[in-house]
Amino acid sequence: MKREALVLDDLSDATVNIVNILVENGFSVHLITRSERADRFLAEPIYIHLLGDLPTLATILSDIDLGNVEVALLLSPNDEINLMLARMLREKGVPRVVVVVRGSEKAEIARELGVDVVDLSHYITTKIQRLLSLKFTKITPISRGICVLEMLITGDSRILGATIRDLEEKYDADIVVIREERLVKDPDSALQAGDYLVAVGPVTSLNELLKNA
Amino acid sequence: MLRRDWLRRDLNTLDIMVLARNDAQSTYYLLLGFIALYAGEYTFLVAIYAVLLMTAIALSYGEMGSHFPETGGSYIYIKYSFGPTIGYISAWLLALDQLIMISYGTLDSAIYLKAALNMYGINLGVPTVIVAAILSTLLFTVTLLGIRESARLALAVATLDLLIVLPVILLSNVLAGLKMEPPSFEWEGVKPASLLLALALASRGFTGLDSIGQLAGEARSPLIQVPRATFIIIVLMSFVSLSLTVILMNRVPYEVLSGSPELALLLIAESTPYVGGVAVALVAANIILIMLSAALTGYVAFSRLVYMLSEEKLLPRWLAVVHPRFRTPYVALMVAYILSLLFIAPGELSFIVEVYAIASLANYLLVSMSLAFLERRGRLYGGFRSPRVLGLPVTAVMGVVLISIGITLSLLERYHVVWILGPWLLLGLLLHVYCKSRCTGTP
Repeated sequence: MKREALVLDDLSDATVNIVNILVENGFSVHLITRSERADRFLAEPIYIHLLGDLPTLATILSDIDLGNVEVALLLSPNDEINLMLARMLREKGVPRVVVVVRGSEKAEIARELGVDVVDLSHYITTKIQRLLSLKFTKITPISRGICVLEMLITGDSRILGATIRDLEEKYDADIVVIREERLVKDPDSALQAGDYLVAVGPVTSLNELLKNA
Repeated sequence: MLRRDWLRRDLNTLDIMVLARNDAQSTYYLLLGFIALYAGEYTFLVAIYAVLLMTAIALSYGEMGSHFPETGGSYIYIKYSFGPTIGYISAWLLALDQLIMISYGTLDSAIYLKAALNMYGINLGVPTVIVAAILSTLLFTVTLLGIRESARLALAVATLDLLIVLPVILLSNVLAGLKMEPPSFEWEGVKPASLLLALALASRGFTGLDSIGQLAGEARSPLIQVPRATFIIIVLMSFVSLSLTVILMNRVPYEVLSGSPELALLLIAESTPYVGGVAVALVAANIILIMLSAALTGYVAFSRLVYMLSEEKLLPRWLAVVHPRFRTPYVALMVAYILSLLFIAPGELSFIVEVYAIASLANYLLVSMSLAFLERRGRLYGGFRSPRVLGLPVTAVMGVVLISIGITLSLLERYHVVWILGPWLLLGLLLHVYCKSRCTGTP
C-alpha cells in the first residue's frame, strides 16, 4: 500500500528531520519548498516541488495525487499560507492535516477547519519561562474533570519548603517534582526554588493549589 | 493500522550502475555480431551511431530519474507529463521487452555455454532450451530472495566483465598492434549486406537502460544516485563497445564472423594474440554471466514495474503482494518466470533479436518528450539539470531527434514483426479496462 505525506517546508532543520523520519517510516514524501532550499533535500528519496513566484500552491497540488496522501504537515513560517493550504487539503479529502500557527486566534481558526494544531507561540513561551526560571503555571485537561498542573516553583512561592506529602494530602492530588533533570517522588522531599512540579488531580483541587502557591 | 510492506531502500550508486549497465551492455554483446554482419566496412560508424543514441537515452533517463524517487521509471515520468493512460500503455509495452530480456539472456548464456564446452570437446547432451529454462529457474530463485542479493551478483558479474574485457582482450590486442584506420580498419571493401538493417539493430543496441529508472524506488538517494550511475554507464559502455568493435574489425575476418555472428565475442577472444586459449574460456564465462545478469535485471525490472502498476490500481492488486520474509514482489516474479519460459520454449534467438526493443524505443521517445514537458512546467526539482536549448533540456532534444530516427529505421526494417506488439497491447488494454472498475482495496 502506497503511503504519501505532504510537507510544507518551515525553512529550518525541523523539516529536514521530519522528512527523514517520514521516509524511515515508509512514506513517499512530497516536499513543497523554495528553490534556494531544494539542494538540502537532494539526498532524501522524496519529491521536491518548488514554490516559486509563478506556480501557485494550487498548481503544485494538481501535480500530486492527493487521494494517496495520508497526512499533510504544514510547517511554513507563514500562518496564512498554512491555513489556506489546510483549508484546500481538507476540502480535497486529505484525512489528517497538521498545521503550525503562532497565536491562539490562528489556532482557533485552524481547529474550526478540523485539523490538528501546533501553536508555536505556546512552545516558545514555555521554553523562555523555563530557561529564565520565570514563574510558570499550566493546567491541561486530561479527562472528565481530571487535569495535569505544571508549575515552576520560584523563590517567592508560598509553598516553598512544603513536602510532597503535605501537598498531596491537602489538595487530593498525586505529585512529582523534577529537580535538576531528576525525578523526585519521595513524599518527605521539601520543595525548593527551581523545582518543576507536576500534579495530577481534580481541576478544583489543582486550582486551589495554584491559588495558594 | 498502517501498512509497512514497502520495498527496502538498499541500493547504492554502484549497485544501480551495474544492474542497468549489465542489462544494456548485454544487448550490445548480443547484437554486435549481427550489426557487423549487415554493416560490413561501415560497422564502426554504425557503432558510433548506437553509442550516440545510447547517450541520448541514458541522459534523458538520468535527468528524469533525478526528479522521481519511486519505483516505476518511465511510467511515472510519462504519467507526470501525459497522464496515467499513456503512462500505462508505455509501461506495458516496456514490460514485454523486459520479459524478452529474461529469455534472450538465459537462451544466449545457454548457447555460449554449449559452444564453449564444444570448443573443449565436451558435448553437454542437453537441448539449449532446457539449459535456458534451468537458468531462468535459478534466477527466479535469486530475485525472490531479495534485491540486495541480486545487486551483489550483478556487481560480481560486472567486475568480472570489466576485468576480462579491459585488461585481457583490450590490452593484448593493443600490445599486438591494431590497424587504427577508421572507419573500415581491416574490413576495407567489405560491402554492407544491409546498412538499413544494421542501423535498425544498432538503434536497439543498448536496450535495457530503462531499468535505471525502475531501481529508483530501492535506491538510498535516487535523486543523486540515478544521474551519477547514468554518467558512469555512458562512459563505460561507450569505451567498451567502441573498443570491441575496433578489435572485431581488426582481428576477425568478415567471412569467419558471417558463419556465427551470435558468437562474435567468442570469435574476438579466439583471435586475441598471446592469450587466445585462456581468453576463450574467460570470455565464454564472462558472456554467460553477463547474459544471466541481464536476465536477472529483467526479472527485477519486470516485477517492480508490475508491482508499481498494481499499486496504482492499473493491474490486479494481487500482483503487488510482497513476500512476508524476503520483502520482494513474489507474485509478479512468478508471472515473469512463467512468461519467460514461454519465450524460451521455441529456442529461436534470431526471432527474439528481431522483435526485441521496438516497444522500448517508443517508450524512450515518450520519456524524452516528458523531460521537455517537465522543464516547461518547472515545478519539480532534480539533482541533474542539463544545458538548455531554446528553453528545452539538450538531453530531451537529443533524445527526441535520435530516438525518432531509431524508431523509423526499426519500423522500415522490422515492419513484419511489429504485429507481435498487437496481442500484447490488447491484453494490456483489457486488463486496464477491467481494473478501472474492479481493482480496488489492498493486495
